[in-house]
Parts: sequence; C-alpha cells; structure tokens
Amino acid sequence: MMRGGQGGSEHQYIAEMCDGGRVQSLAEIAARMQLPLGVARVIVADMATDGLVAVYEPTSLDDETDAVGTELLERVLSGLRRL
Amino acid sequence: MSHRPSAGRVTSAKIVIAGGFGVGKTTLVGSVSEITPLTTEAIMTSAGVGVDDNRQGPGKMTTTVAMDFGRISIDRDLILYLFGTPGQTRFWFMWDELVRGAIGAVVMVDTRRLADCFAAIDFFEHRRLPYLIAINCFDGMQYHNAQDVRDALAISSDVPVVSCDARNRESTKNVLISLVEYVLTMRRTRAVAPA
Ligand SMILES: Nc1nc2c(ncn2[C@@H]2O[C@H](COP(=O)(O)OP(=O)(O)O)[C@@H](O)[C@H]2O)c(=O)[nH]1
Ligand SMILES: [Mg+2]
Repeated sequence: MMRGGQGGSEHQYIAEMCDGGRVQSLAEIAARMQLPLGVARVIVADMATDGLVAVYEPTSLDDETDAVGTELLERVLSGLRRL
Repeated sequence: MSHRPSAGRVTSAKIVIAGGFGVGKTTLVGSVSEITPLTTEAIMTSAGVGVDDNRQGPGKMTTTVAMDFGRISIDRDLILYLFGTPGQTRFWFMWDELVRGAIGAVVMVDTRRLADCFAAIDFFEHRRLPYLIAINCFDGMQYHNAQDVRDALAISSDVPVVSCDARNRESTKNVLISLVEYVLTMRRTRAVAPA
C-alpha cells in the first residue's frame, strides 16, 4: 500500500486516518498500512513530535482507580448487550 | 491518536483472544468485529525464534507473525478492540504489551485437542489476567461437558467455562459478555474481601 511510497506518504496516510479528530489505535494504523507495529509506532511518534497528531496513552485498567475501571467495564458490558 | 485533538476523549478497552492453531480465533474475531478482521504483522527478531526454528538459518534475523485484530464501537467515545494472539507460543513474549491493560482473555478450546490451550492458560495465570474458557463447538458437537473440561484443565472453580459457535455473532457476543461479567464480579468480590 504505502510502503513503497515517497517519504511523507505514510504521514499523509496516517493524518487522513486521523482526520476530523478521529481516534485510531496504533494497531489499526499498522494493520491498514501493512507495517509492523514497531514501525508504525516510530512513524506516529515522529508525527507527534512534529505536532501532526496527538498521541493518547490508552486507558489502562491497571492504572485506573477501581471505581473508574468498574465504570468502564459496565459501559463495555451494556454496550455489548445492546449490539 | 487524533489529527486535531478533539474535545471528548475516546477511551478504548481491549480483550485478548487466545487458543491453539485452528481453534477458531480468526473466526470469532470476524463474527463480531465491525471491520473485516485485520491481520497485522509484527516483526520478530532472532530473540523470538525458538530452537525448533533454526532451519531458517543464521542469516534470517527477522520473520513476521500474524495477529487478528477487530473493533467494536461500544458508543461514540468507547471502542472495544479484540486481539487474537498468534498460535505459536514462542511468539508470545511480544504480546505482553497487548495484554497490559486488557479487560481479560478468552481462551478458546477445541475439546478434541484440549492440550493446545495449556500454554495460553499458563500465560494468563502468570500475568494475572482474568480469562474464561470458551469451548468452540465444531459442528454443534460438544465432546466433553464443561465439568470434564474444567477437570482436564485443572483450572480454578471460579473460571467460567462456556460453549460457543465462533461463526455465530450472538454466540461470540455472549462469550464477551460472560468475560466482562466475570471480571466485574471478580473486582466486586475483591473490593469487599477483608485485607
Ligand atoms: N464447524 C465449525 N467450524 C469452525 C468453527 N470455528 C471455526 N471454524 C473453522 O475452523 C477453521 C479454523 O478456524 P480459524 O478461525 O482460522 O482458527 P484460528 O487458527 O484459531 O484463527 C476454519 O476453517 C473455520 O472456518 C465452528 O464453530 N464450527
Ligand atoms: Mg487465525
């Protein structure tokens, strides 16, 4: 896909994926671009340095207080039931 | 990640899908994901190559390994990701990062090849990630009942053992629901348990 492209085309592709404030996971970017996860991570980190994207650390259940974690789990649960 | 940081933060959660080769991981992710399951590749260095793999020769320093990846939008600002681990246990060292912060794991079992899931169970027990056992009922047949499977796997009595048809969206949904319910129950139990 983008791998043979000119320098910068990866940036453009990732910026388009994230356009309009859409949030994308690193794994999704890596999969769509057919790039190894580690490579996607480096490209995205470079873009963040240039201010092209904002990188959010994922919400980790380990880091949350029990109350927040439980609330998140309940949201996931009711969301799955609605599917 | 967002091109222009938006006002509301989107939160993501993730569930790991594990089990032996051919047990139905890709099928399960595909039955419930709103995107065609993406197979993403991760690069392996020689550090990840097991002793049985030296037939690749000393010059082969990297190889790639596929991983299933699916997505479910729970609501506007909450996304659930599904990660199917690769079957070969020797590649799992790299999934430590994926397991971190996960809600829990689904360990898929084919009762004709029960032993294939031992490594997955060890992995999650070692990392204290909650998991449940999902018996994938190939052709509607269940070769063992849940109690037999529980005994054969020697798992704690509170680990849920459920049956599913990985091809069926409702069935897969119910597996995920059971896992989240189990994790919630565990957290509540822990919260009231005396120190
Ligand atoms: N009959 C039946 N076949 C299934 C079921 N789940 C998966 N399969 C088939 O079993 C094979 C292996 O499944 P796959 O999802 O690729 O396994 P993976 O290696 O764990 O990703 C595929 O041909 C699937 O179509 C099931 O519940 N019933
Ligand atoms: Mg597969």
